[in-house]
Amino acid sequence: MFIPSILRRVRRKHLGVLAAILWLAMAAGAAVGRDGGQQNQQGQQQNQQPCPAQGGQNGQNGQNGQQTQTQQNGQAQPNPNCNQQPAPLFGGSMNIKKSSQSTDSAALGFNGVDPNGQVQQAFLNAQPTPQSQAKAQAMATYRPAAADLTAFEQAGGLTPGAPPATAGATTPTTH
Amino acid sequence: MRTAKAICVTMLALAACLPAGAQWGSKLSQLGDKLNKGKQVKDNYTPWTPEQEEQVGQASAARLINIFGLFENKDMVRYVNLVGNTVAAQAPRPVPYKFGILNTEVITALSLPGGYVFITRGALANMTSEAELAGTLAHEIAHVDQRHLEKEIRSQNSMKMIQNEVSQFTSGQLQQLAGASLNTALTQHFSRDKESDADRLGVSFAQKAGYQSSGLRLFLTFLNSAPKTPDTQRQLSLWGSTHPPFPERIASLQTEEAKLPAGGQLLDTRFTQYVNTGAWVVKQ
Repeated sequence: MFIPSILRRVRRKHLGVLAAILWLAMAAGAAVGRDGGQQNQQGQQQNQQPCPAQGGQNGQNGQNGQQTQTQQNGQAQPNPNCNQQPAPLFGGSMNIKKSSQSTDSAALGFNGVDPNGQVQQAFLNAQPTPQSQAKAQAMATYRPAAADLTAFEQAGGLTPGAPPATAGATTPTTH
Repeated sequence: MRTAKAICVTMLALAACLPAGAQWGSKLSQLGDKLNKGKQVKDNYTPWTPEQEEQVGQASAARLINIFGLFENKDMVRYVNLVGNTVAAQAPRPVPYKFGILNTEVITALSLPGGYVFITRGALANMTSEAELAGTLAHEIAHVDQRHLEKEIRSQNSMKMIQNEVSQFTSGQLQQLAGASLNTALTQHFSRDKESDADRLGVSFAQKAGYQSSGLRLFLTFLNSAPKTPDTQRQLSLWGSTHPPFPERIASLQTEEAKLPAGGQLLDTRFTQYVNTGAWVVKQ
């Protein structure tokens, strides 16, 4: 009742201005809603609190990692799945191994990976050599023999699956 | 007086319209998301033929081997292929899978179209059981099974011109696709949805094959607790830049494992026999 009575008194020339203001208000509200929706989606994705690294594998780093995570995610809910983690796989300190002492290390190293661990663009863009192409072709034709696979699965107490395609298969030498 | 009334009306109108506008904007945003998803589905409607997949996969594999080199010890290659094919038999899409070992210290695993699945020597050196290897390969098999890389490439603007109206790509198209495949596999994240799918399906494939479903999680847990030295960071950066963070995956894998029956083989002794003794000695 109040608003229509006011509207009747407002001059026609003011109605245009009023409409423009209303439209702007709707647009501003829409922008706020869009941002809010995106933030909600991000919030939902980030709300899963990751489980801390299991202790025991790496005494010092494991503990530090847990403390840092707790500090950073102080307000996050703990993940109930963390309670289902089994006992640590390894005891004592852990070091990432290198295979550089292998007897078969003909060209071992980081090969095309920069100190930051990323593949260098020049390597990504390089055309493969005929040797690399031949190796990819050889890889495509290699397939374990069906009997070999069945024996392997049985020896490991695994579920027998469908035998792989045997066309062009090569049976590698065994131990 | 009239001015005051006009201001009053304006303020009331603003107060009334802001919440309505906010709701409208939120719905617009949701509608936009749905349209985007619909577009992605449409883009992925026609998959590559098996021949095209093989063509792109082999050309990309050649580029990958060109970068890292291939570890060609027959016993090790045979072992990885046996484990990989055991798991791959549980994947629904028939793909001629082939498994290779990349000759690098970098710790990662990746897959290319056509069933080309690679694991690095750095990764193998840090595993302790066949279940861990099976779980890692199973994740990559799931990416191939679901055509994740193909979908990713086909959604890239530069690749949209290449359609599969022909049974085989031209040499130029093939090189373009191979380059895009390798770039995507080595430098980009799959979406969270695709990674979650691969983790969920991978755990299922490994479990159905008879392995403990915890294999991949145990390996990731081990890597997650690695010391933060420059060497270690260099070894793990590639994995980190192409997959979601370890803690996130460990938590989601745990959830998936809880849905599956317990049991299965770990086969740590057999893994040690093949990987840590005999043909390939890995020492610290």
